[in-house]
Amino acid sequence: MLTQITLQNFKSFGVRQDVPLRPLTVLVGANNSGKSSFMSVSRFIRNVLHLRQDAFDLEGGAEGLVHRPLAGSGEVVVGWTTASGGYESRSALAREDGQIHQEHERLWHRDAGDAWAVHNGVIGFGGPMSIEPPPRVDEAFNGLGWTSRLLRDGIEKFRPFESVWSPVEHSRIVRLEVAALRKDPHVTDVASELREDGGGLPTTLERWRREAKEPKVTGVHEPAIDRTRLEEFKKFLCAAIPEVIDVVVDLTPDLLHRRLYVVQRDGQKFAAPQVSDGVLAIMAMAAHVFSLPPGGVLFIEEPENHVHPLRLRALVDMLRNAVTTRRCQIVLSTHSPVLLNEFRDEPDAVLLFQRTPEGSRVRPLAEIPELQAELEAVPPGELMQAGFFAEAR
Amino acid sequence: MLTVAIATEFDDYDAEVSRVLLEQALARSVVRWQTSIRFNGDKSVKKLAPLYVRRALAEGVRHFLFTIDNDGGQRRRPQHAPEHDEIAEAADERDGCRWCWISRAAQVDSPAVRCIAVPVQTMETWLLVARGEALSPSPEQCYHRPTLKKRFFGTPLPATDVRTRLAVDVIRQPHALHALRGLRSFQLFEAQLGIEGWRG
Repeated sequence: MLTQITLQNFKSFGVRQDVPLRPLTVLVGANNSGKSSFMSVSRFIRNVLHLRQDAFDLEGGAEGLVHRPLAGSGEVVVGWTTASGGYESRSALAREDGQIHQEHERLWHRDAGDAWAVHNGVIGFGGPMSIEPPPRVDEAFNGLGWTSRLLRDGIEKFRPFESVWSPVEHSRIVRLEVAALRKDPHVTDVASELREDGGGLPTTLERWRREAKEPKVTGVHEPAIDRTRLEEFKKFLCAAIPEVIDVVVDLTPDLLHRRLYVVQRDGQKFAAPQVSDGVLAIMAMAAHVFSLPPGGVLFIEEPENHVHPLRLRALVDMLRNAVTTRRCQIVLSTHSPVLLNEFRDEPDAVLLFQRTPEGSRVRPLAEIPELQAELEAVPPGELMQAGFFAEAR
Repeated sequence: MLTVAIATEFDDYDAEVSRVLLEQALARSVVRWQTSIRFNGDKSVKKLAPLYVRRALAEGVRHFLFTIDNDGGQRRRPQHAPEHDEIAEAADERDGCRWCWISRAAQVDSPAVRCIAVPVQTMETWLLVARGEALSPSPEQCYHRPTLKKRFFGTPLPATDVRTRLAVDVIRQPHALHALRGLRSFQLFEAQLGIEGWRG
């Protein structure tokens, strides 16, 4: 589980912010306060770990990634901690080429010490690791790239550090778009991941259906296959949306695509293009939750979009269950007073984002002195709606 | 089987816990009046109570239970007492006695009967006492709402169905009612059930 994410001069973040995270964390704040910037760091790091060449470009390149004007020490700092260790990268923006250059990067484990640390462009491996001559890693975040290579090379001595990087590697952002949810994926597309916009939902459900039918071979090591998730997914869906009794995936009439169908209690069957936005959104969020491997982190942007307020409670319950039974971590942003009120008794798990001249500032509601009296008296959603959060200094 | 319209701050949890409490106190089966009306917080119950009563009466419901927490006051946190000036307390939007609040808002005429439950400070105070936990120096002093919730359920807070199951299991313990009867707030709740309309 991620216990903290640290950002400095990253997108909307100027001065260093150490953002504490809980198993289930809620981000609130006005538009443009930095919630999306915060969530995007997981995508960026994950892409770096997966050696994607476009990791920087996807975040707008150095221009989009670096906060202007530079605040604090002027370094770009990105880091995180888990219960067992952490990672931190400190980079500088070179005046000559406007690019980000490595200054210091480190991955450490509380008990095993440093996995590696980068100084002056040279990566030095600590503890069990040794590579001669030490490779040069001039580019920012290149140490993470090394982590990927070492793991892909199957260097077992590196495994103790897995608990440090795996929550980020297995993180996902969910930013649903109804148009993507209604699209029928091509029939040959069976392996693709569920996308952050919800695209690929029929393919994902079809894959789960096939996995559920795969026989379990005893005595043979196999990759972890969750054979029950389709069943759990449907169980949740039918409880959250009582008029729905089943979800099926069929071929389209031209046999070229797969299409999602929702079966109602009255026997009617509707194809995805005819299903309501809210039902599709709830399905996609549930599919993302059940797609996440244990220990993974899901960042969900405004899950309230398209969803009836009363059904938000079912959604929050699903997320709470996922945290406890599936051992995953969830961070969600919201503008919904109804959703926020569900966290009335966890003010330490609600983070208030505010835009300041020095960049985004983040504080748990429980640590903002002037809000404590109000939070005792009034649910947080009502305070947010009435403008009390904007007043917090 | 007694059908009761139960208005609470959070229907999926408080209402079910209240129903089981009522069932235990009355020693008879209680079912909730089925409605799609949902509340969201104590102020929502106060505001919507007259409409809720009217709708339920129109559907033939004759028994009402209103349960809200007593956790919204800052300058004071009054427990209800018979000598309260109900009008004055109900007019105090922030610090007024929650029992008086609901009593003013949810008027029910005979032959219908009503019962008001205002745990001090939240339902979890009652649950902790029912579980046999010693709240020192007294339950009424333990005033931080999230602390009470986390003490009973642990952290992170589980989903509604799990919370409800944990709460109901405690209330159904043989010694639970006996423990609760030591609390003034529970005595006020139970005293309202002595009349014929409830006992049948």
